[in-house]
Amino acid sequence: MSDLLLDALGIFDWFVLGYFAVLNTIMLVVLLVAAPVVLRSVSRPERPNLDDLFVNPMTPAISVVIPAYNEEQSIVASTRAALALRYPRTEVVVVDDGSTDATFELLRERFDLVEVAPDIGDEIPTAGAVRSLHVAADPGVPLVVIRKVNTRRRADALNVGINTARHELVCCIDADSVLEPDALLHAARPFVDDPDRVVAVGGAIRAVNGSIVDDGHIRELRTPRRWVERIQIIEYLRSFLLARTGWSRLGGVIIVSGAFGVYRRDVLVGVGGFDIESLGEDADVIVAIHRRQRALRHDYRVVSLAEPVCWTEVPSTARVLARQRRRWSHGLAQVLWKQRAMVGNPRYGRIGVLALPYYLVFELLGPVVEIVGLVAVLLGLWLGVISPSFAALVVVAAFVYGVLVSAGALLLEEMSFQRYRRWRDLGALLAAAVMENIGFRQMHAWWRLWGLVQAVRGTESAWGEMERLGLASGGSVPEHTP
Amino acid sequence: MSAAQVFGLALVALSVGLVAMVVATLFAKTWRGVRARRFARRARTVRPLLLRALDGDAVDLSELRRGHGAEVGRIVATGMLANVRGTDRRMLGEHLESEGLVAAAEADARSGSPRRRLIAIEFLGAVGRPASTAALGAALRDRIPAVRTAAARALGRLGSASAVAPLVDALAAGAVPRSSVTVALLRLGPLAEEGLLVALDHEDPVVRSVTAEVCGSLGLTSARAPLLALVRDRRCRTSAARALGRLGHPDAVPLLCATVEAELSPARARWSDDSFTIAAINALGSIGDRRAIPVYESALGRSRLVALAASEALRPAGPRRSRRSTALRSLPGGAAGHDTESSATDGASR
Amino acid sequence: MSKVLVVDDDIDICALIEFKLAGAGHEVIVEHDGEGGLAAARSERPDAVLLDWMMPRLSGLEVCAALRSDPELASIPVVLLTARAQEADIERGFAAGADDYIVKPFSPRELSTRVDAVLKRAGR
Repeated sequence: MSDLLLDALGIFDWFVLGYFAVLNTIMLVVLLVAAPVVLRSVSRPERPNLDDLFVNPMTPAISVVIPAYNEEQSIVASTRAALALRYPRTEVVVVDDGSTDATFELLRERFDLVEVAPDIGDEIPTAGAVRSLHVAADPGVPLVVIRKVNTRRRADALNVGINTARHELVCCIDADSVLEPDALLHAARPFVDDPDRVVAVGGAIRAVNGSIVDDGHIRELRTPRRWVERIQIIEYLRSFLLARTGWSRLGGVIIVSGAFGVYRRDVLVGVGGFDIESLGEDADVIVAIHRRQRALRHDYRVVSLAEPVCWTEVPSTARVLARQRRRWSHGLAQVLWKQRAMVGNPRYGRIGVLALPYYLVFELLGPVVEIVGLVAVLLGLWLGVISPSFAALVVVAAFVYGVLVSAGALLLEEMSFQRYRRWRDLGALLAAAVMENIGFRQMHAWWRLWGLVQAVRGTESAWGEMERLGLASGGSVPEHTP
Repeated sequence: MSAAQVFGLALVALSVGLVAMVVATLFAKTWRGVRARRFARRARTVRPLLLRALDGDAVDLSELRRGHGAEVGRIVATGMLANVRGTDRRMLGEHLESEGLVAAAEADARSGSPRRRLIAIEFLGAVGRPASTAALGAALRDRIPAVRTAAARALGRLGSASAVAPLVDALAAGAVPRSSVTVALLRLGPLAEEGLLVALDHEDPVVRSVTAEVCGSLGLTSARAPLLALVRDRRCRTSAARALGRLGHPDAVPLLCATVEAELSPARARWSDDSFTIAAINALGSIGDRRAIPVYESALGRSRLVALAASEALRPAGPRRSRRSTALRSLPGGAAGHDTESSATDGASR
Repeated sequence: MSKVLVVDDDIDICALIEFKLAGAGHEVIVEHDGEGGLAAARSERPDAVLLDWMMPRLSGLEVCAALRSDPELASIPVVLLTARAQEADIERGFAAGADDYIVKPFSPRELSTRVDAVLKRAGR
């Protein structure tokens, strides 16, 4: 009997080796797919092409929707920055989601708000009632501020914003997103060059920690001091920026970050807006869009840009980070469960056959393998089921290979965007690339495992925790995936 | 092979790969720094020369014809030309040509290095000599997408009607992004009229759409009849409608009304795309003909953006008003005394 | 010899204007953002200010308004130099207190002429 168990352990250990080897190889392949896109886009400055978009009469108008709950610290700066974005035609819709602080007063004072009759559509059913609608007294300032009753769901605020928006494209951002001045131009380009197909565009979100931000603009980009933050920078580069660009080329984008995403308004309305019950409403809406477009048999594309357009503050302590990652995992589980009919289903093309299974196996269930696998390998070594060389091979497949992939991401960054100018920044990031794979990754797996457990238990407790911490409506640290 | 050997092999392979990447990263960073410093050094001597040429001095620019000097000279000159206009710009352009820099750039548009081609093409676009059209037309078929895009942009600035056909061909071939071709054709302006009218009949619907928009933006009244025909063409009717709105002639009203009525009929699927309906209603609003009023009224009950467009169109002729002014009027005692006639909704003209 | 303060975040444009105005016999001071420009205006007391509109930290319009609200600086002529060319922009520029408004791309000799005119009007 014990022989059987030992055999099973041995087989499982082989499986663990295979898992790490395959995971890192997939990451490497995705990076290689992303590399040409990233390198090509930066061989020369993009300004001329963006200028073309600016003067092109076919460039569609964009409504920028900013849900805000108790954002008195940054709301005026963010709104000013949104209004100052370089784009021919925009409007900014700020949704004051029942803030109890000075959010609205600050806006009213700064922009000279005047109350008007609330002419808001109801194409998307919303929960929180709208209390009032305000516009800027200066007709040259296209600002609309809506006040609504708080329902503790950021998605609800977004939906109210979409109902109010009057342009064909909607850009959803966070109140504390720091946007590049040309962000909208970058995001609009796929819509202009392929108007019949593109339905949603996401931009690359990067970490702003440690940098000097001046009234909504980044003056100087620097690596932060804390390792927690540094590791996230590498992670964001590899997993979010580059991986997503690669997936975009493969046609497998399943998330457009809530920190910055541009969608066709009619498509958003068509899927019923953002789901207020979802912990990962940004992924949920994209998967819903895929489902709808396939059902309608439309030829469509969801694009994720390599160009960094949005900078966000990432958690600076392990505690906050842990909570964020648990939530992401939980949200992912929710989405995969809700759309389980799509997973592995060829009717949904690459999304069904490639992307969703990847996320299921490697992102959602992966942590299980990583934690249990670690234990199993140690156990196998101790019991003599596997040889020391085999165990070392697993280490190489998990760690060294992983460091290689992270270093590859850094190299791509250096060859293309070069946003981090100083040598010491590069050195710090290289060190972070090593630490990301050795140490952080295991903790991350543990947190994600807990998220999965929470998902299995049910969503209520998670929402409860979020609400207690005041995060359900969109707290100061972005809780959604970048 | 034993596990130990596989492990050893894997470790060596990955370590080598890792080291190679780190070295490559450091190299890339150093190389960039070196290149930037070299550029800045050269630019310090080049810029004053070009500034003096701008002022009308007959400076000797022979060092800018070849090699690194040519590259730096072109980049600095392109920037300078983009910022200025008038007599000074003309003098700079003429001097650049008389010093042989334009001919050198036309030759370099076929250079082996994509970067060099790109810089030369942008320079030619900035100088804007119509005679460069042939060289740039050839560049529209370049291997590198960024070079093709740059060629399209540059062609728009040369002011030669012979640029229209190559641009249209490149658009049809999908070789260049729509936005670049659209803006290039717009920059060519009314002299592109003949080529545009031909392109309105092109077999590719993308070409027809882009051309329709450009004709509308340029106000080419001769395009009216072909545009009316395009309204019946599902694949480019939205662009045709927008263009007819910009042209503003009442001849378009009956057809636009009829097609909008058809779109508003109950037979339409719920998920159908409203973009044509909105564009047509906006166009009717711009033309401002009373015959369209029943159409607006039936559009009011439809989806929100359609209804918004209809209500905007229904307002009495004059500046388009934002939600601001009408809403204020409807609010008793609200913000009286604000004269908020806004001629531009959301800060833009159509 | 008049002192002209040029405030623009575009380095190439500043080099161009500096060359042209220095050639016309003016002393030129250059700043690359709004706050720096305002500080330079206070410390250098230029005879004229050439302002870009879209700049980081403080926009040209805000600098202009600040100059006009400071009694010691309010008499300095201000010329706006910007790519913003809409009617509404021009109105806002003059409403903020500008004496002249030049649209980019601009003619360098025209700019020089306008600066001279505005200096002469202010008796400098």
